[in-house]
Amino acid sequence: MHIAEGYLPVSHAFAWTAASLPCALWSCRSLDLPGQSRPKRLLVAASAGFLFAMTAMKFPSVAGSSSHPTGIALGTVLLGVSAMPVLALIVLLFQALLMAHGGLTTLGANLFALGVAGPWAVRIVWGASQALRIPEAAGLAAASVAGSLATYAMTSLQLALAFPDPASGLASSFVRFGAIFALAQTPVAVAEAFFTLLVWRSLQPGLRKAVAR
Amino acid sequence: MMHRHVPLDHLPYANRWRRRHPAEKGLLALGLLLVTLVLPPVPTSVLALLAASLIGMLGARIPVRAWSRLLGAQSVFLGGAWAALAWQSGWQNGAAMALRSLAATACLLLLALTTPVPALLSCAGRWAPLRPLADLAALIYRFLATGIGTMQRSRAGVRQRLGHPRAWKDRALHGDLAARVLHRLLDRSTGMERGYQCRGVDGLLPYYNAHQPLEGRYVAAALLLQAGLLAGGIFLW
Repeated sequence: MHIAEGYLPVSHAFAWTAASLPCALWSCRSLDLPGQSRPKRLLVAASAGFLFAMTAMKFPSVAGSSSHPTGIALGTVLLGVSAMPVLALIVLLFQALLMAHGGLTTLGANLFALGVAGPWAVRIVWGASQALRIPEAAGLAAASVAGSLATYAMTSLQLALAFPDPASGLASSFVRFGAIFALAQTPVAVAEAFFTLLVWRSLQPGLRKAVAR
Repeated sequence: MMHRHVPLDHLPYANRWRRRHPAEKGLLALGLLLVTLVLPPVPTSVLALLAASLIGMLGARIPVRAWSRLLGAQSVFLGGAWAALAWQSGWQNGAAMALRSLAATACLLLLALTTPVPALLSCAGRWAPLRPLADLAALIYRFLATGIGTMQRSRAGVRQRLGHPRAWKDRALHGDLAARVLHRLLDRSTGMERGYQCRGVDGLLPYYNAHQPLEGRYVAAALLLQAGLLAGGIFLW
């Protein structure tokens, strides 16, 4: 989902940055970084490491973008949806500055997809699965798939807004971008769900309870 | 003082500009990026792509092979972009967009391959509102550096014991390793934190801070180049 540097028109880049900025500020406030305990900060760093590793496994996709696992489900379930914009911001910055993956002008758009749209989808599905008493593994897998697909749906929307079809308009362009992404992303999202479950199960129950507190 | 670098950012430590002030390199690369974005792709993107590549390879002495490999990898992604846009709005629009994106990526590479991340974090950390965020970013950076090293060693060990598995098995192995490495990282980082606390460091972490002071002539040269590119772009448009 990393839209390449310079790919979005300048006005779109600014608009997505403006849309993402309040989310990042809210995330900073909710994480309470200056007053945060070091053990909590370690967990935040571990989740960011997981996010970085997952999103770095990329392969080319449509329109200057890439397909890869997103890794947002684990962070969202462990730390809450409010932590994700900051984690995604730091991870996306590192990927731009270490591997030229994504970019600085497209940071706002990428942050909105990976740090806002995806985590909220995970939150909604995970919350619903908890409320409906669906087994934890199934709920987490569904949340992971939903998060991954929501991230790519948002990227498709961003690309469709930037490059609407001259003949049939925005909706057609969105469907086209989404359909091409779905070809690659659906199997990746399913594989990611299994992987997230593997990592979740390997975390000690004590740590999970501590996180939940 | 020579700092040990990690596999993640080998190149930024191995070029002639590694000790230059990050603001000089940031001004040069981000200024070029801005010029690329605001003017039409032809001819500005061509000029910016050439300028960033020549400055990177001749000025900063980034190895030609590394530069070509990284820019070439990006071209593969942009090839897909060109195809998608060409299908939708004509090959000329697709080519112009792909060219602009390639030039912008070259500008970003110029910054990324000449500036170690800790140097950027040190600059960000000097601004009080960004200090907690820079501290968290520094911690994540250490985590990544340690994690990648641990993962590579574990992977090599498993391969020596079990041989080279097929692609699907290899992915499963990768996942299993990643899950285990996450645990090990948490343990190691907790140990590191305790070590810091024992030494009385309970607040923000120290930063890499070995760059030279800001030099006016480099700043002036960067601004002059951008002004020239802007004028050239407008003139040739």
